[in-house]
Amino acid sequence: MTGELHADPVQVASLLRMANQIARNHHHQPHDQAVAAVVKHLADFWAPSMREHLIEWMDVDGTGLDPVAAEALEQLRPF
Amino acid sequence: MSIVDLGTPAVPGERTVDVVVDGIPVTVAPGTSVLRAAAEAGVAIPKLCATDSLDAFGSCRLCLVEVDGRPGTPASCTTPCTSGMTVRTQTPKVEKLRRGVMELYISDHPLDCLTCPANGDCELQDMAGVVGLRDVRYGLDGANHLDAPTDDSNPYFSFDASKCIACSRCVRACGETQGTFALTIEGRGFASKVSASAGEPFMSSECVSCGACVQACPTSTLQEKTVIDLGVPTRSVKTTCAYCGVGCSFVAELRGDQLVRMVPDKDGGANAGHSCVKGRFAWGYATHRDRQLEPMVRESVDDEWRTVTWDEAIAYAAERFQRIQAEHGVGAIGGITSSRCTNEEVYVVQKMIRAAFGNNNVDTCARVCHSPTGYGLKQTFGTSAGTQDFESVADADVVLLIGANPTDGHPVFASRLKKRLRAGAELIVVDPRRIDLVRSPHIEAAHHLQLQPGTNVAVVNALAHVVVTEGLVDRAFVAERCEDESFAQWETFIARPENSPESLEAITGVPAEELRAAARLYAGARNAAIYYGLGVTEHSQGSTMVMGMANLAMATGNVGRRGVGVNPLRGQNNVQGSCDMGSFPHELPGYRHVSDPAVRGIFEAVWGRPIDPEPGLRIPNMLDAAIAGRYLGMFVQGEDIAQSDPNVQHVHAALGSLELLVVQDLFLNETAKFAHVFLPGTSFLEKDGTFTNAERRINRVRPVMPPRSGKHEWEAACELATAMGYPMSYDDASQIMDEIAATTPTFAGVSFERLDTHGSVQWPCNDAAPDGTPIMHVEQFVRGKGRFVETPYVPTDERTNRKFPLILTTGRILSQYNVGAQTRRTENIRWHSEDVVEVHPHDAETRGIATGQAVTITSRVGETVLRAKVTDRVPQGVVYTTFHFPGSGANVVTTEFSDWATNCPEYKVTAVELAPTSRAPVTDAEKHAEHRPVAGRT
Repeated sequence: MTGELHADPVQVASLLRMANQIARNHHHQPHDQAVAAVVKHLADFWAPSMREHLIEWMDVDGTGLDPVAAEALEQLRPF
Repeated sequence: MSIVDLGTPAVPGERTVDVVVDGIPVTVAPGTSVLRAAAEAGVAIPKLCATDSLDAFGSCRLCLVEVDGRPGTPASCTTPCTSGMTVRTQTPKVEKLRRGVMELYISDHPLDCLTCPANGDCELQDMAGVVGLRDVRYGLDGANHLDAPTDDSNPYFSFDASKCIACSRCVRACGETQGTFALTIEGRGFASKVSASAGEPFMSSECVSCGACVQACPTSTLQEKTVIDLGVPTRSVKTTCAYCGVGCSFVAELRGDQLVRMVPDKDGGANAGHSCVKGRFAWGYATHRDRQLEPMVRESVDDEWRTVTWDEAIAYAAERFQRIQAEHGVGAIGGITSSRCTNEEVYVVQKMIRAAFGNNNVDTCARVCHSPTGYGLKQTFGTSAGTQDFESVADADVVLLIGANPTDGHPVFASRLKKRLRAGAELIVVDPRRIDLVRSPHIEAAHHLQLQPGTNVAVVNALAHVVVTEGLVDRAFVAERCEDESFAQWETFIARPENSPESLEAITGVPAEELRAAARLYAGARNAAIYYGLGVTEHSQGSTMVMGMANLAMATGNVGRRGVGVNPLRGQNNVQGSCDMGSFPHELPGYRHVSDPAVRGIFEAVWGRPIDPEPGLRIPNMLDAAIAGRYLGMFVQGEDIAQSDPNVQHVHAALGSLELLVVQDLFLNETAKFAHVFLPGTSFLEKDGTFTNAERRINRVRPVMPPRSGKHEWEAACELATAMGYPMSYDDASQIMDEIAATTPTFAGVSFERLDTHGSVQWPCNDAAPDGTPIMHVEQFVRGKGRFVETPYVPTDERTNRKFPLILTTGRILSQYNVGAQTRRTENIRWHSEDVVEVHPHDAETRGIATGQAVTITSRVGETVLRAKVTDRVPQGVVYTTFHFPGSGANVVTTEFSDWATNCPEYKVTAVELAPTSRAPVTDAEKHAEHRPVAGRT
């Protein structure tokens, strides 16, 4: 966990809650399917800036982020 | 206003019989009344108690005829046609009888035709002329009803008993059409009189002021007060109501430029001549003194408003939007479209945002109501649309009503539903609250599954579990119409023991045996239909629940024909349309994802601008980004997010962070308190365009008067886009629809010309379905095969605890609409002048709360004060309120929790505590006084 967080804490808290909730609603699926479903959901419905803010926060902290959501965000990390 | 009235309702059926009326042959369905057959042959038989919206009654004895080979002079309204019948309507015998009958009517009727409000629009007057009455032999000094009193208690219509002919049309309309049964004929013989409830004034009776009785009255006994005040209308314009998602068609009747009354259109596809108190009477807000008719600007929300010209306001907004983008990036601005506006207005605003703003930061108020419908039905069926037309409910044998209160929220559909229920269909209600449909006159739900708020998904899973484990699946339908693999996975999932009614009973609060019985009733019906409302969508699993209902309908084969389906009851007039028009940040018009280059290509070719391939921000994301300082400019079209969205403290903080907020609305609403530019909007009476209702019906909205602000809303959006460097213009609204049709396959066949010809069409309307599509998914689902989706129950994060032990849920009341901006500015205020909180007697007792007492409602995010109403309509542990008044602050206490898939707020579940208080609820006037004054009026 390195780097400096630029995102607003309120915004991050909101994004974290949303990401965890999305992941939780896919927990019934096999792990790889769940991750793929979350990746698709975040790509289809989240603005890139939202994904980027959460990835940035994941790099700095990441506490409390659902592992399925974390794995999905890793796959969405811009190169 | 002349209206063709065939006397009795049409008789359905394909068989026919041939009859002859006054020598004219006519072919009708067996059982058709002679009165109607004659009318269809072009022969008008005099009548008073008969009208084609009501079953024949046979009381007035004016429609007497002679039938060859039969004795006597039967009433033609109650005489069914049989093959070979020969009818004579104008014989000396019946003419004499009719004159005698009419003479008796007139002998007990005020002879004040010239000063009567209905002069020229009175069936009694017309019939007296038709039968040739020239003299009344009976004096007026005998017993009569000429001194009978007038009941003026209702704000919208008067009941003058002296003019009543006791034809019972009002009584029958109240029962047959509206289904309220508030009216009756009290007394017998000469003492017979129309009575509201038990002889009460209309206003304090059970009357719901739908206007059906006024519409049915053949005299001036029940008369609109506006007709009494202004006179009989002289011209009319057909248009569409701007209240709920039923989308009733109305005939706006005027004298010159003055609107006199709104009459429900018999030809209206959604309402078939019926109305509710809002659409029929509550249109006065359009000319209310609070209308803000001139553009205004201010540098800061602490400044007074400054009235400016349209050009100044547009230039002011454009320059600041551009400055924000130059300093903070293209994505630093966005906008919200309104479900109250026309398809054309919405389309233009989303186009402005995508093409002129250059991003997809567009969302709509459907975010906070039916966005889960869009997600859930697209995942399972392939498109975001209700499956049926409203009329289809007449073929339903079982109706599963979930999280909806149609008698208050969608009253004209409720009347259709009640009619079907009275005819024998069974009803299952899934709702924490005992809504009127659970038990009301002539209606009793077979099952009321009074679930704990927040457990919808557990209930629908339990229903499906019973279907699967008790062998009630329609295997043939599933095999032919649905995906094998997804069904197999779902079947395994739903059959697990944890989804059984017994396992879930402790969570849902619904007795397992009752739930099993309800599931068997639904699955065993020939036709079973699901209707649902915001009690489904406004949950943390709103989208999951929509998919759960779609699973249930598919598993039981209840999709693709009349009387079945999955039907969202949309909240606002154009929720369906605003979603259709590309108001979501991830979808272009027609529900096509922005990432699809082929779809973008269609719009880029027409618009001449590149479209961002990535989704934009949703409303809650915009608000979060505003607080974070990344989103600084917003255009809000006809929506009051400062009142309607959850956790308003958060909303207010976000709006207060904006450098530029442009509000386009009729009134200086709560959101306008944070605005820097105000652009005056147009009421539905001024709009020119279309609304799309909950059954996908595209209805024309025709201007009854020119825009009072001097400009259509779409013109203002075009000018703002143009001022920002993206020239955008149309000659009229029909050109906008033409562009929608050219770019959106489901609208390809829609044009103003076709709507004017057909009255309305239901999308998809294209070459494959030129007359529209009343029922969807008939041969196959839009996505091909229906897709089953596993729907595990995931409890909401909003939990009760010792500090907040009650669950607050919210809803609507009949007389008010949404945040009340319109209805609060009408006489509807007399039915509901403030929001109250319903609390169960046990919860009230333990807290020392009595009806009428002010109580604080405290959640973990805020506190408000309302008066309490102690009632067992709500179960113990649940409290309920409406949100029609800004002062009530219902959304001060609702939280930021939302649907996992769409961010639709979880309005229906907030943990709260109630306590008596000496503080008074905040009044509407006090909230209004918070607005900054307007300076510099020019």
